[in-house]
Amino acid sequence: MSILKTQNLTKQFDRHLAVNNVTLTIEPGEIYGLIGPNGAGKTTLIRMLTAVDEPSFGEILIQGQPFRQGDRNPALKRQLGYVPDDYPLYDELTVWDYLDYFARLYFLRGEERLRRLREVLEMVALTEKRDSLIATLSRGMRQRLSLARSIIHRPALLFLDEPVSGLDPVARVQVRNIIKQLQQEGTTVVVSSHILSDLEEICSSIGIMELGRLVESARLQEVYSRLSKQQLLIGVVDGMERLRQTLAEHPLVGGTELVLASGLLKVDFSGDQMGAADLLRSLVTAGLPICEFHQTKENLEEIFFKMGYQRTS
Amino acid sequence: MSTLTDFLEQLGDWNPQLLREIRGRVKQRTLVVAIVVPVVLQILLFASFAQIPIPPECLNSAEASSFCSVTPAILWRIQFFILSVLIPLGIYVLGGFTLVDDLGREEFRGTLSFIRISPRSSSSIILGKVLGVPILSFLSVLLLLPYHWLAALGAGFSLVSLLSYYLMIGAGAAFIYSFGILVAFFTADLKVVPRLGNISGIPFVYSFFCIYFTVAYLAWNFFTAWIPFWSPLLVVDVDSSLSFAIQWFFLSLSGNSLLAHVFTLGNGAIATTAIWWILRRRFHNPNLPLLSKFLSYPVVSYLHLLGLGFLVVGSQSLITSIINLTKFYLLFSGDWLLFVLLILTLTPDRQALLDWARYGSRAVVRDLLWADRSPSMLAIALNLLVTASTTLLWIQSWNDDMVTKERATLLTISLVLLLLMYALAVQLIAYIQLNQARTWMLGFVALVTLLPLIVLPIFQLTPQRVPFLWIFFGYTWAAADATPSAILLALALQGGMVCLLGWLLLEQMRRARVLTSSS
Repeated sequence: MSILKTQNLTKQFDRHLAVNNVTLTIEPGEIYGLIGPNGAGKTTLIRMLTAVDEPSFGEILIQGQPFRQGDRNPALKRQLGYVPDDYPLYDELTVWDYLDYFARLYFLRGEERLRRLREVLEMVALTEKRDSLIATLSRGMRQRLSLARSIIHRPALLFLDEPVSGLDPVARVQVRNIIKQLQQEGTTVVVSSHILSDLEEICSSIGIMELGRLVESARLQEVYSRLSKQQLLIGVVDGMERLRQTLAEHPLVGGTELVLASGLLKVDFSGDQMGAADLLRSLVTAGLPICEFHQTKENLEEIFFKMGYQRTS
Repeated sequence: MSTLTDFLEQLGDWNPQLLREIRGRVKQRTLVVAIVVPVVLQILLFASFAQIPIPPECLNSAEASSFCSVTPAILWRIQFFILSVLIPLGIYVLGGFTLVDDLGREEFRGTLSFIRISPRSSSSIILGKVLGVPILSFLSVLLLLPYHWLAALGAGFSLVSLLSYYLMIGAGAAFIYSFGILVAFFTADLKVVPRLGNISGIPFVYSFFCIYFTVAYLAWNFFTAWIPFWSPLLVVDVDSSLSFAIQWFFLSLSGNSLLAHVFTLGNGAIATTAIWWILRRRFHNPNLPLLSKFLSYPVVSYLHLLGLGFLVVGSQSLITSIINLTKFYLLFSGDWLLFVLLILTLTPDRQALLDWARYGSRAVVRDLLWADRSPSMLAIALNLLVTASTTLLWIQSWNDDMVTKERATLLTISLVLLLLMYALAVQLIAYIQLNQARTWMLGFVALVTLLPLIVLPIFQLTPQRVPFLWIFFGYTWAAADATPSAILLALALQGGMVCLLGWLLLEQMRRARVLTSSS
């Protein structure tokens, strides 16, 4: 059974459809990346999925059961964790008291609670700060504390809205590692982020949102095989213009683009490995001084730009 | 120490919100203030009374002659009264302020979102807030209690009188705290009251309300429930006939202490339960109108009947001298205020109205009567119908001349039309795309209420010259001598206005359907 399913989920703000008829299925144990430009509806979708906001229309099923705002489904609420993009905290509490409060809200008791508190503090590397006031924490620490709060009760389904935005590279890696660890422990994670390279590394599935619609939702490998073009990176010692002319005549070569930083030519290529070998042979035969020849694929960022962002802009 | 830790541990398991509030508030510095202030207050009170000289022949209260104006018992009694006023002031005013301030801050910071999505029930969270946020006020008041008991003992008051006092004060606290949370939720998006630095002005306004409530509530109990125990009326030796003045639908509240207790506690329980119902619903979805249509019918009927009950029967002293029409004006004003609040709390915002226009069910009439996101007009009209019917029944029961009855009947219809005008206009404002729509609604009602008072006299349009205009705006008391034709003219104008606004609203609803379906 899927852990999360939505049917025609819609949220309208005034005349603007922030989320438009989103039908989505997420399987247990996945890390589902939600990507899209600003205003695509990612945050609104997550806020509805966590029952912070009420949908204008549509249905949410968690573990097959309808999920709505209110007191009616405490059992389902225990399965959810949520880190919003602005993670407000209680500055007057210490780190320990803050987490203790949320652990109690989620019915963790006695020794089990204390053990889990220590575990989570260890996981987010805040053990040293357990007695510090939250007001004194850095942005990265606050972000990790917010993450700790959301996983204190071992949720089956965790929603992270832009969890690494504004963090330095070290903190980003830390958060990424925590997400991977949570997945290994069996938590399903839905994460939205602008930093697509991070998502590419950890996600098993992705959804691309554009103007409130979910334009793509599939396993990452499937997206790559369907949407990612094969590319070649070719370098010459001399004669870049001649290389371009030679490539333009080749039947399997699409567009070319010079990557300025590396001085390599990026080539859209529709052939297989044998085709690439034939191409290399023909270039050498033509007397071009080839110094580099790599086979690669479009990454998530390029797919995203191609699919969503370019259409939106 | 370990016992306290164990207690807090168990308290936190029972209600985490309560423990979180205690941990957030009970710091060394705040604790010192909460302890020192009541202790100093008691020392000052005791010292000032210890200095009052008592003649030797009056020292023994039991044997003191009636010529003794100062006896130890009298002094204890005065100290008891002072403490009896300080205790509710501390609980209601300080507690009310901190509660409204805290909820306002939580809404402002957005921290309530995490609590809302936790599996704990809204009742548990709100109870934790009610018991935990004013914890320092409770502590200060707790420190006043030994002196309070000592004073009661010295004054010779019975244990029952003390129990009655604490029961009533506790019931008042339950109401004032619940109402405070309601106010905090309702005013979270209201920008009428300015902020003072980091603190919103709302808690200060609420504090003034709490002071007023404390005085009114104590006075109410002095005149009803506490008369046989220790009402100050007995001390100042006011004519005892006063104590039988307060009646409600033939029930003498000031003549029967037990009945007064039941009445006050019963109404307090009803009011507090209704508020909690609203809070539980609103807690999870702050975008819903404060009051549901479903709850509006019993709440409005109950409040109207509660007010009417005090007017139906006159008594031997104060109220018998008041003529029927004056009592009618009182009811008129009460109903006006009740419906203004109803209109402001029942009207959904633009988003809800557009959602209803697009995604609402096809059962329009059922939606208009029960669904929270539909326009509130029909529900308000139905409430008006019920209220006006009971008022008209009451008017028919008067032993008065036909002219007075006729005038009251017409003015009741005028009130219905006036409130329909308000409701329609407010609903139309809700459809407009505005920042702070609720502030605009409130502003509109304030404007149409206060502006005629200022503008009409400037143009010398006095109630004597143009009574229909004053009645049109709801100032029936100003046009007390208006002829039936003047009232009928006002009714015609109001009716015309209701038709116009009604047509505009229907147009607006139609446009909303077109707009949302094309977006």
